[in-house]
Amino acid sequence: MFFITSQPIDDRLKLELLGKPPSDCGALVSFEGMVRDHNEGKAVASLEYECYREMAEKVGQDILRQALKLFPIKAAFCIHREGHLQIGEPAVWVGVYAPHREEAFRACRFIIDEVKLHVPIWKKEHYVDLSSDWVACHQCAHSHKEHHHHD
Amino acid sequence: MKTVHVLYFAKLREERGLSSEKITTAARTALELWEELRQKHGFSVSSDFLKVAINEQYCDFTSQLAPMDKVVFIPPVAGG
Repeated sequence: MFFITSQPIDDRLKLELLGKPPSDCGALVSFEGMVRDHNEGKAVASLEYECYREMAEKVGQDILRQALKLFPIKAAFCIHREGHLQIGEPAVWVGVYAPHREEAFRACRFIIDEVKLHVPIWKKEHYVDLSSDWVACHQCAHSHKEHHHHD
Repeated sequence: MKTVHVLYFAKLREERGLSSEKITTAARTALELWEELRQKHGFSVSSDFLKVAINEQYCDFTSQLAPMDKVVFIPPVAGG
């Protein structure tokens, strides 16, 4: 399940989503991305996330469905924040249950990479010097129409 | 002429000063619509740096527009 929320991504929310581990799973891998205090040499004060929510949730669900097809995993979840976030606040969370850790790690990596590339979510960085700017993944901005992978 | 619903996000929303509008246009494709809007409103972004979605699905700029389509020009995304 993929969804966008304007509420904090906290333990209660994650545990509610994860539920009871499937009995045939030996691994749970999760990834959490949070707001960092710098980007490209500039001191960041806060981040504002804007989403095209209806489409973001469709594209996000498609990515999870793809992960379930590509990897031998049992369940996959992703939550993404919208709104104004402070330094250290979780912006995105991915969780994957699988029988074995190897697939869980790989699927988790696949999901976060695809989410960053395809889900219609934008972020505006507010800098310590009071300026602000919309962030564009540089590789995407230069070859936006080509499918590619990068860190 | 047909009427389509255009939504704006992020940089384009700020440049347009609106989140959405109904547009009556002779444009046949998404690209023709973008060029029309760009000329009218002076957006700073070229279509080379955008993707387009019609009715919540990514599609080509050469896609044909139908009446009441929901069209969104998507600046480079930056989730995560």
